[in-house]
Parts: sequence; C-alpha cells; structure tokens
Amino acid sequence: MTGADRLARHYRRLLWAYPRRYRRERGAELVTTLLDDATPGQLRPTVAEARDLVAGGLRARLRPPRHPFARLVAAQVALYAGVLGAAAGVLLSGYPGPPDGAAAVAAATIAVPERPLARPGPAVACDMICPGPAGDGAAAYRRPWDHTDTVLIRYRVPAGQLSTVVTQARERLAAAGWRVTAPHVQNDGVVWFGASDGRLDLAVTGAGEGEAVSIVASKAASGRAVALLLTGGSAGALGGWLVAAWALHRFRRHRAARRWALAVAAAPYLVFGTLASLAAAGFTAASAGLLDRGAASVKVPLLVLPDPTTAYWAGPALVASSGLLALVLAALPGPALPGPARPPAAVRRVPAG
Amino acid sequence: MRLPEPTFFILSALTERPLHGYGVMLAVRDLSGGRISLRPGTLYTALDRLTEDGLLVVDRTEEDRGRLRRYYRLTDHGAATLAAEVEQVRANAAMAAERLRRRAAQGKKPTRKPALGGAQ
Repeated sequence: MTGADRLARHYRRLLWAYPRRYRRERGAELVTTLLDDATPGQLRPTVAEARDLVAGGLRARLRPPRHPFARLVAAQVALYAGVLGAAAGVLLSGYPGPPDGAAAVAAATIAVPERPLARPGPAVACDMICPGPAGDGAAAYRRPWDHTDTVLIRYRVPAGQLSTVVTQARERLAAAGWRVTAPHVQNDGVVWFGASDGRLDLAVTGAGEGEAVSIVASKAASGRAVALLLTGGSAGALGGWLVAAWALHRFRRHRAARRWALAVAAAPYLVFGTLASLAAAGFTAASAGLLDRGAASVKVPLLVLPDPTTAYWAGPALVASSGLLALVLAALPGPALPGPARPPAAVRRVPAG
Repeated sequence: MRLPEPTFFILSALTERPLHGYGVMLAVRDLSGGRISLRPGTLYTALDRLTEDGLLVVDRTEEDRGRLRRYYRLTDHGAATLAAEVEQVRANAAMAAERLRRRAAQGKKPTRKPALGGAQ
C-alpha cells in the first residue's frame, strides 16, 4: 500500500462526519481534492484538516435543502423534538408527582391557621389550569406521566370575610419567609396570590361563591428538573433538526408520487405538532418567570405526551404516528434517482466542453 | 446582500474558466495574495451552496485511476451576482475614500486638530 493510499484511507474515514448521501455523491471528489492539497510524503491528515472535515460534515448534516419551506419544517421538527426532549428530561428528573400531603397541609396551616374542610387530597386537572375554587372531586394520580401533581386544601370562610382571610394568609406566609406575589383580583371577584418557599408552590384563591379559600400546593420546580428540562430540550431540538434535514434531503430525491404520499402523511404532524409544541414552548417560557406558575412551567412540556389515565392520548398519538409514517416513507428506498456522480440537472442543458 | 469574502474570491477564481476543487483553492490563495486559504471542508460547503443557488454549475467530471475531479463553472447568474458585488464594493470604497479625503483637508485647519504634545 502506497503512502497516498494510506492517506486516502484516513481521509475517507474522516468523511464519516458527512451524511451518507453526501459521501456517495461527493466522497471521491473530496478525497481527490484532499490528496491534491496534501504535502508530498504526508501519511496522516493534519489536525487542522481533521477539524475542517468534521466541521464540514456537521454543516452538511445540519443544512436542510435551500428552500424556505424546508427550513420552516426543520425548525418545526426541532421545536417539537425539543419539547419532547424537555418532557423526557422532566420525567427522568423524578419531578412529576404530588407533594407530600402532610407537608402541604402544614404549609397551608401557616396561611390559614384553621382546620381544613374535609380531607385534603391530590387534586385533579392541574397541568395548566389548576383546580378552581370549587375543586371538589379529589382523585389520586401517581403515575410517572402524571399531569396532576397537586394537593388541594380548602377552608370555609364566614360570609364577607373572604378578602380579609386571603390578605391575612398572604401576610402570614410572607412573615414566615415565603416569597409571595401581589394579590390578583379578577373581574368575577375571585382573588388569588402565589407563594413559594423553594420546595412548595402554593396558589391561594378565595372565591365568593361558597365562601371558600382553596390552597393548591405543588412541588416547586427543582433545580434538577429545570436542568434536565433544558438539557433534554436542547438535545431534542438538535436531534430533531438533524433528522428533519436528513428527511428533507430524502424527500427531495424521491419521485412525485412518494413526495405526495410523504406530504399527506406528514400533514397532521405538521399541523397539530406545530400547535402543540408552540403552545407547550410558549406556556413554558411565559410561565417560567412567574412565581405561582413556577412548578406548572416545568410540567408544561408533558402536554405533548399522552396521558393514559385520561382520555388525552388521541392528539399525541395522531401526531406521533403521522410523523413516524412520514419518516418511514422518507427512509424507504425509492426508485434510485441520483447516481453517485450525477451532475446537477442544470448542467445537462449545456453542451459539454 | 453582501457576499462573504471567501465566496467573493471563489466566484472571482471561476470567471475565466472552469476549475476543479483544488484549482479553486489554489486560485483563491493566489488571488487573495495568500490571505485567504480555504480548506477542502470549508470550500465544499461553499461550492455546495453556490451550486444550489445556481451561481455555479458542474461543467464536467474527470476520472483518472480512482481520482475524481469535478470542474465548476460560473453561470451567468453567478457572473451577474459577482458584478453587482463589484459595483457595490467600488461604490463603498469611493464613498469612504471621498470622506477620508475631506477629513484630511479639514485636518490641516489648526482649530480641528489637537495640539501636539498638549498632554505633556
């Protein structure tokens, strides 16, 4: 084996940084250029050459076809996969699940030093809309994909005392070292504020009807949950972008029939996946800074996952199957359009030489 | 939109005749007085983009004992893009030169120039 052969083999190994389609179409040409550029007697690629090829390969993998729609699709897939990754990170962190009931009651007792109404318990339907003031119907959701991780504690209040009790609750919590938000008064007379001691988040709500104060306690977003949310989110976004760039290049090389099939298959994913991921990413970002929704914001990405304990599975399942079907259609070999050394279409109109 | 400098030199390198990848590298190095030295990975990223945008086309492919060389040719669109860039750069340079000339003319007036050694 000559030195040039050995060097060529090293270069070809570095070309693994490039996507397969690229290696097939351009690999031989790139190796020739690299060999032309090599210093006489060189046996191994230099560090700078290796770095240049790895960077070039990454660029080739990350670059969707140059079409505005292709870039839009890549961005959408990255967003959706990012939300999925964030949800996976939150699940992995062990964050989901209601807080300890006794701790929640102890915290609520600081705010309202009285006996709670009935027995407090994990509350229902609190992924983005926490139990209303009339949050009866307690049910336990303790599975890992749980969206409903709150404990609801209610107090009866004498008529006309509602705003006094809520104001006092806020003062007592603040005096006990809790961070509290300003009280919000809604048009319908409902008054509420948020509080957090770093471990528990409380939403304290007083509503005129029934004259009750409810305290919804949820775990405060842990640093671990936030870190895993961000890590999972960025890993998901990068992975999604790579997969989208790959699929879009495949799309471009398929014939018209396959393209149509692909577009139809991907349509539900594109429509509903966009809505779901925009909603989840938007709510996460919007609520992250608010004290009273701090915990909810960590849970928001979970919205894109199905929840087998409720009827909430049709949407995520439709989105997932549509996206996966489109990927399979992209991956299946089609009638081979491009040969390895086929010049771009434009060149054939020009007489050679 | 301004062309990045490597792109400017790649297009300039291809104005006379089609060149293969290594030929482009040599020409760019030469035309820029050694200032711009493209490595193959960087060069091919640019060539791909320029080809996709229709500024270049593959002119012909030559194969010789396992070595494969593709020659790239500047399209009319590519030439027009480069010409527009040249106009822009020329206009910018003329504008800046004119302003510098005026500044030099003003600088001779003692009122606008800080006295030498004034800080000492």
